Amino acid sequence: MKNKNAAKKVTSGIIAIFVLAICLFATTIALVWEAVSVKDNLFITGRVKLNLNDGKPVIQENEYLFEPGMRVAKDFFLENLSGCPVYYRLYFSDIGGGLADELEITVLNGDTVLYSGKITELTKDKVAAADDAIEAGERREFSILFHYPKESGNPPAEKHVTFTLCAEGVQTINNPDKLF
Amino acid sequence: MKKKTERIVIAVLSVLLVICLALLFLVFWQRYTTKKPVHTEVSGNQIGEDSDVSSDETTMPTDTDETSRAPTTTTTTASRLSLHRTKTVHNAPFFVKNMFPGDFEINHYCVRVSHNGPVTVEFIPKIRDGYEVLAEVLKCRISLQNSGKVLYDGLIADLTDPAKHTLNSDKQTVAELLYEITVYLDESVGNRYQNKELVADFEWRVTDTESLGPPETGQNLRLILNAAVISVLVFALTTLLIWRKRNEKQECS
Repeated sequence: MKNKNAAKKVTSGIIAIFVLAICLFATTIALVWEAVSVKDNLFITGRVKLNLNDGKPVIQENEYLFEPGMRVAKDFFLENLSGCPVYYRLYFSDIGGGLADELEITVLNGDTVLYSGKITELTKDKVAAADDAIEAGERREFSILFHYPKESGNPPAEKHVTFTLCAEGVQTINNPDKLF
Repeated sequence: MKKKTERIVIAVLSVLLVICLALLFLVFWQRYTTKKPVHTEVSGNQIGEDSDVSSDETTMPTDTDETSRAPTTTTTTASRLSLHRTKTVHNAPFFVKNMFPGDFEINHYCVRVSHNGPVTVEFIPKIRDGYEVLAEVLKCRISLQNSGKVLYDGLIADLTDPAKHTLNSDKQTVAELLYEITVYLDESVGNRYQNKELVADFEWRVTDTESLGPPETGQNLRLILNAAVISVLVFALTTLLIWRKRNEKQECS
């Protein structure tokens, strides 16, 4: 019984000393270390994001059989999902097929011609940014005109063209030279 | 009789402990309620306009050394180290969204130091865990508007060694340091850093508090509280140890 009481006393003593030591440590730190702070400084970078025609192709496989003199116009859109205005450029990549050097392409924004030429002349390294920026949240409608010139003659049956239409955007902020 | 004495000792110790805890609570309550920053959106900051931080409080010249010879505003009421809000300096945290390469944001902070002798004020941003990506490119420039001295200019993540500024005075004085913190992104920052976030806590501290003096007048409640808490704790600890030893001796005999 006596031993039990002694153990109890020792335990309570240790606990008390432990608590007191923590208190002492906290107050000592408070005295020897002076500090003030401004918490929760938040920095978030913006992003440039474009939606080009919801990812759908502007012209489908086997949709048209091109003949000399034929013109096909297709519409597509570009939407700026960024939080700021962006400069953009449209270009073609993954170009393949024999028609690539014969088919003439014209990309229009309303009545304004943005790009014109053979599809192989409208690759990423050959096109410049459009003159005007597309505002944040703006959706802009475009037309793409495919023209198979008469002077090209009848295409052989196996002639075709495949391509990926791409859009690239860059923020207008701190970017007066429209650098991509 | 012995039991009665024990009960009295226990009661006294309990009361002392309660007092200690109450005082500690008071200390922390005072610290965190008086200096809590206001969370506001930062916009329209200007460089160079905030050097005039004159307030309605009394000012007096400070005796500073080479590193802080620029005119430093001083006042007669202060804590030992505190952030002081003026008409133009709000000490608000940064809240910057939609940052793009080439963007920068400026905030001003007024740190008030009560000292008597040389004191080194350190500034360090503490980047929280999980925000390492943006920390690779986010830069900051720390300068003192008092002197125009640039304390640091570089990656915020590289500021692990605090930006230091030494104040000196032969007599008890209260100095104000006007920090201008510019956070910016280089124009060369690439797409990898789009839509990234960084949270940091800015801290000003004085590790060697020997020359920190109490303010000439006014708010020295915290110091008194600290001293009181330590005294009470020491007393309680000593009493407890003596009481235990006596008990052990009696049990042995």
